[in-house]
Amino acid sequence: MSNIKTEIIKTENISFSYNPEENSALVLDGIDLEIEQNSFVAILGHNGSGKSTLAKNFNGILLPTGGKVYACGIDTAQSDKILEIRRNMGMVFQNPDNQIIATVVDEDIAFALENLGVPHDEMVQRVDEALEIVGMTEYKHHAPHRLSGGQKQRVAIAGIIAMRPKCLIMDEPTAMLDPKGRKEVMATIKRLKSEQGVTVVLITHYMDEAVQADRVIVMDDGKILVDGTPEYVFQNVGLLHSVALDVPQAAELMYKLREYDIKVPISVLNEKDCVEVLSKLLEGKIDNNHREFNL
Amino acid sequence: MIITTENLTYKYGVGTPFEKTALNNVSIGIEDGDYVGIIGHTGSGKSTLISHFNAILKPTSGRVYVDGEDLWQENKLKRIQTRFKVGLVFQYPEYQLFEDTVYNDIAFGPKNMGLSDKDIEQRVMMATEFVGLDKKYLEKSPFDLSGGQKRRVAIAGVMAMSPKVLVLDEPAAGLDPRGRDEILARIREYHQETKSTVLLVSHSMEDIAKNANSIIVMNRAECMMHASVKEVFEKAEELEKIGLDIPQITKVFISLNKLGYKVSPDIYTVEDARDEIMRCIKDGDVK
Repeated sequence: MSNIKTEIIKTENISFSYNPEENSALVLDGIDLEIEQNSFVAILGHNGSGKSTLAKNFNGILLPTGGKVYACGIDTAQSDKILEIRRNMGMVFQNPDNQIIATVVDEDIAFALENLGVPHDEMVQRVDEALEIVGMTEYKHHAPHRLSGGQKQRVAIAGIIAMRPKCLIMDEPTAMLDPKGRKEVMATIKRLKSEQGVTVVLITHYMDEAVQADRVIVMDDGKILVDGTPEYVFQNVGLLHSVALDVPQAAELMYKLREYDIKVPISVLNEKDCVEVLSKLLEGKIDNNHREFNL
Repeated sequence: MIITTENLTYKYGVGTPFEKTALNNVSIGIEDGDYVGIIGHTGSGKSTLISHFNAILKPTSGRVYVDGEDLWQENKLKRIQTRFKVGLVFQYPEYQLFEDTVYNDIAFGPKNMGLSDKDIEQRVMMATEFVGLDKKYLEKSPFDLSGGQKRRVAIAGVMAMSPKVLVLDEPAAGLDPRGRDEILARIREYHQETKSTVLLVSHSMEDIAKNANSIIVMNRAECMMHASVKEVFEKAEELEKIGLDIPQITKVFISLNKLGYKVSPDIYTVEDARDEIMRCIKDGDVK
């Protein structure tokens, strides 16, 4: 390979149907994708757009009807390699209550390690390490059902991290959490990427989470609609609205101002940039055509 | 006032080591016909509070009045009648569907109210229309519907009881933006057409800003604020301190206002933001 950057997930023209014999509709339709190692990728799309199905194809929970998926370079159709793939491609789901099985936090995190046959001493060490990474060390001996949603979800993440996966695939991990819980989980995700070198694939409906990613992929009707940096993707306000997705309010405001022929930049995603742009606009440093306004 | 609480206190696990005060001396009054947003971080007491509004929980001390009636008065029959005035839609209500057809599920509440078959049918049709569910689904099993449709059925089941107060706990949780906007638009229509009182529990300040007239802020088992949307969002910093988030656009306008620009800090939606900026430019009086 000439490119130095290596991809951890690669799909080649994959299609997927839940009932291929009955010619049911394609949930995924010709997806070509490469996800680089140690990147943070957010996948957006309305319900039924195919994003969860795509994520389940990344680690062989589902196998494509057509085309190939390579996870860490391994073809997911190789059934004898499935354990290796799953160990490297950890998955976290929406509801933390459905992912916790033990009655004590550290036992819950050790569950997968026990199944993998990790020796006891190493297991203890990995559990402690995983708790440290998600910031839950002080809850080691607590009962999971008494934790908050955000804390439970971090325990679920720790259970996956303890397996030392190369990639973490998260399917709406914050959908059931309150703002505080969402912030905790997002901070954990970012730390995993920067400190542990983990690749993160985050499926979300929250645009404020997607803007924190390195790359945003928007799915619609089983296809990739837009793919690029958050700045690039959220410029396409009209397109995103057409598939019933939100954009951050800052980006939306820029879009609405441009409709009035005011030349504000389009790639404004956060508060700070928005304040800066609006200050300039109010100071008259941005071209506007205000005689034509008709409010 | 359609609902009033007087020094409402509720403790979980009284007499056990896990005793916890979930509501501490809450005295609030909810006006008839209002659309009230209830916000607060997890564990602040929101759900415990709304569970008192139709007598699912009995106060440890204090009183709850609905439409002038004490919910825990002696007369049991009256209590039951009063309970019907408050319809509660729990979080993820689609998990509570159980009947064989969508029709029967929506009809369950009105049936228990002892209405005639004809009245029941009328109520079911009305509620089906309010939630925007196609009538062709009425004879289907609720379990064959999509998640968003199931949720509509569950909400319709409560609307069919024509409660004077409709209480919804995170009705849009887990839905995508389109599903969320649709459900909230339906609830808004219901509110406007029936003139009933709506209480919306939500973590989303954007949704609250777009829909509610007033806000109750719960924090640590107490009612920290109960005021208009404007008055509550003015306390942005206090809200952030207790783990709540105000809309991004509101933060932007508060910053601009602090920087000395003559923009209003009370901006909650993108449309208001655009209009405010345009007004400012037009007036030419910016700083």
